[in-house]
Amino acid sequence: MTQAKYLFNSLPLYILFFTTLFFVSCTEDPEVNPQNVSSDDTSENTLGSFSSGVFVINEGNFLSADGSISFIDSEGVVQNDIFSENNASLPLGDVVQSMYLRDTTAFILVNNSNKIEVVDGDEMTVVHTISEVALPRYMVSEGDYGYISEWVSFSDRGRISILDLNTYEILDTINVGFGAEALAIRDNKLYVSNNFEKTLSIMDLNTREIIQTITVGTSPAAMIIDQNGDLWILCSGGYNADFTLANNGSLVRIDSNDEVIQEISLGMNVSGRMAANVDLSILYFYSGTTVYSYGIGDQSYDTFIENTSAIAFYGVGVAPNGDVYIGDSKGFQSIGSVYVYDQMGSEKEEFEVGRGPNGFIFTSE
Amino acid sequence: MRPIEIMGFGLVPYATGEVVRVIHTVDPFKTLDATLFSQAGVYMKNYGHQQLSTISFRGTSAVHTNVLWHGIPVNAPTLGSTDFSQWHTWMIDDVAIQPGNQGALYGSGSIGGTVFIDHFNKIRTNTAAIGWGLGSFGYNFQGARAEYKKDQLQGTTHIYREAINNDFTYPLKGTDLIQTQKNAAALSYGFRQELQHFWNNQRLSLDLLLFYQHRESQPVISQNEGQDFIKTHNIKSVVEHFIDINKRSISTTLGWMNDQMIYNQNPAIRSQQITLTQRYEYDIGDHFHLNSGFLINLLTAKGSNLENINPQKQLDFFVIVTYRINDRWSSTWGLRESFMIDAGSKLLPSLGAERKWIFPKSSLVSHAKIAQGFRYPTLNDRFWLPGGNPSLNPEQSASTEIGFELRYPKFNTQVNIYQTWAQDWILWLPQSGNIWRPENIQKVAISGIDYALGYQYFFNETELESEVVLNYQCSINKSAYPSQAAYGNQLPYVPYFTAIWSNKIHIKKWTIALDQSYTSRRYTTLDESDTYAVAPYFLLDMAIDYPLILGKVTTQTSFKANNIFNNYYENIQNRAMPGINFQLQIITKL
Repeated sequence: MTQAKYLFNSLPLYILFFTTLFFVSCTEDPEVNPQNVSSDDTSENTLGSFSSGVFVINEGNFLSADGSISFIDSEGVVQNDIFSENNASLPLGDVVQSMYLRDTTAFILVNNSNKIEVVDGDEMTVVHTISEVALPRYMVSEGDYGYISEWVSFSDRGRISILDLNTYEILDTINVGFGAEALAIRDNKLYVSNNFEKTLSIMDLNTREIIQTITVGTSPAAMIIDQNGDLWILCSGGYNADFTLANNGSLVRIDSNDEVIQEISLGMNVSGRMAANVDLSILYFYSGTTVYSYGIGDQSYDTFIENTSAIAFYGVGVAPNGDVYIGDSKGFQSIGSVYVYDQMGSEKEEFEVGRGPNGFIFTSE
Repeated sequence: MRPIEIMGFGLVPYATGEVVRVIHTVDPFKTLDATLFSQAGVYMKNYGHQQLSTISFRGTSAVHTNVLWHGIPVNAPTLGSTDFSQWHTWMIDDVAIQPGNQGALYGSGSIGGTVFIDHFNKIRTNTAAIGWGLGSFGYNFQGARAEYKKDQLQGTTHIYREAINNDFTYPLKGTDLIQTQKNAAALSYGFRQELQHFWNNQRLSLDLLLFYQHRESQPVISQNEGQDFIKTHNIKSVVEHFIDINKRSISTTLGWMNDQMIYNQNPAIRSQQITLTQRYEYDIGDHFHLNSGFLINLLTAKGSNLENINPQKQLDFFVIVTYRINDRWSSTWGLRESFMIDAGSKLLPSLGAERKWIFPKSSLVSHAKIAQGFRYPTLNDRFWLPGGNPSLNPEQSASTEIGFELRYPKFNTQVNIYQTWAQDWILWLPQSGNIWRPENIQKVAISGIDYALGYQYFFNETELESEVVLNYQCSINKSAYPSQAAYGNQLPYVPYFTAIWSNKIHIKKWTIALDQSYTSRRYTTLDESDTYAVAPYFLLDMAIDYPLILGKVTTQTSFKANNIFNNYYENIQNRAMPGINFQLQIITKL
């Protein structure tokens, strides 16, 4: 599986780089960019002009270094490319994978530029650049420490880097499985989904050692801790030997004893991104241009919305008021769109943002 | 023995009704992309300095350019395009370009234009040359080549090595920082052996090309760190038999290409091509000339994502008839029927005409053409796992152009106006289940104008040659994909306007060249987003040449300064190109 992943992800990307722009765009790697959009992404803080609204993370076209951050304020006014605008046109980088907001400091993880830009959240100005990372994916924090997942490469084990949030120095790195992806913290333990495998690594935050590895579904990605304290892992699904879709995506539930207590087969491959409503009772995920919802405790999932005019959904988030935000990459042929749906699935608004919107961070005063 | 001069087709065998530009590779130290950069209607996409480079003509993309080596199509079967940075001019004799749609003449891919590299009617002499070059960013070049001819045999041998550290500096956009480019070094070797044997009215020719390249992949500017690299091995070989009998000639060519590409530590992707083509030429009376023949192509590839591909079989038949009414009027009819098993077939007509007016001190030539073109999907399009779509249809196009050329002894001017309508262009689209799949979805309308003005001026022992080339083109998306907002907009990486002004001054033995070029803004998205557009750029290059002759030995010394104004520019979004840089080149000919 690792080898197949490796080839699927890296080789076509570079090979297709040799040809036309649309071919380049097709090499964007939708399958292995799941985003851990959890309710933690709703931050209550003082962020100046960004204090009430939503940050949109725009991944950018692979190998074009045109990733960006947009901000949609509570009045619906969109400011695009706020990182470059506030940093003298400095390009943010190649494949902006995610952003983590801690108080008034934002950490922007730029995957293919191998860096994390630490920015002042109320002005979006760079205060530090962390470059000792290799293909960084996502970040969480606990106390004075940040935890960063890194793929490292397509042929090496992934790792977790531990960041001193006062000095921005990497204190330690711990190897986990291949394709270290989404992160979640529960009971002083860090959970890491290993996207190129079928496993979940669990690290003790006190000893900083891997204490357990759990087998879950194929291509585990986004994780959310629900209202009951159970951990839900969205597994994207894999491919058959002939590269046809295995259609074996799943939702896996792990209880507080770190045991798999439920696995819901989705009967299809899905994106690795997932979001939950504010009270952590409904999970949202998508495949193609259809968003599905799953109520915690239900036996199956429902179709939330289907947008036939969209090209390709690429990110999902849930606002504090329950509105569901969906990013449409438009196949990376043009700038992306964000669709906003109410809790009943009625479309409320559409915004034009940057290229490849893959995630959202909501702010409120 | 018949003279060698008539023993073969020219570089561009069938041209009537269109512009053909033969580019003499006067600078043997350039890669082919740098040589073609200054041609009207051509846009080279460079993914960094000395990095991957593809060519596109007249608002199309790289896959819409057919590249013929000794008349054999050599675009990579997997990608459908050619990396011109892998072709070094030290290794080839001649190159010509023919902008426009020549599907009937040259087959799949000749939608935007055609590039011709080398042919077998070159006359060899007994000469040898050694080349040496040194330049900025650790550039160094060593090459040797020899031509030989004895009795009924002739041949040429070329060998070269080129390396560059490519550690140039550039200002990081929007900052005061000066970055040093990392991970952009390149190393390449090449070997060529051509042999020809003549007897009676026949010729048997062999040409073998071996290229090796190890290239670090220049990262984007905000990254500037990288470990990626790519290694390529290319073997190209061709054998041709030519016979000329009383106004008739038959040329039979067999080619074999083997390409291997390794990206980082990944398993290699290998592709192979075997091509057999035969051309029959016949002068029918004084007015008609017939070209006809066939082409058989077998294409295959192997790699982890290209498994179990049966060889793809292509068969083309073509007939080209030129009718010369008199010295002033001529016209060409062309018809090609092309079949690709499991990928469809296409019947392609073309019609070209040319009219000359001869005046006492000048001449005027006008030409016009209407033609259809097509392109088969690549092996990646059809068989890439996952996502490849074996059901794709060939892309289609129809083109028309008209042009005029006015020539005086020291002055000439040329204008060409062209239009192309294309449909079923292939785009890779995201699907549910996280895969991408190519589909015949895009329609494009292209229109443009090329203008060239050349001038020569003599004063005592001084000669001035000057040429201005202007190109304006619109390549408009006529599909509502990915949104209605994309309809009616310029395709990505097609500049609306390019301008080139080249000057050469010959003073006694000295030659001074000044080349200026301007490339307008290019969009990178179909909605013409200004945010993601690539800024226009202007370049000024200068070269000084001096030949030192000592007996039978001539040593040509050249000094070059490129990008004299030290402008920061990008050819591809966020990939730095170098500021001012220098090269010293010495060629000693025996």
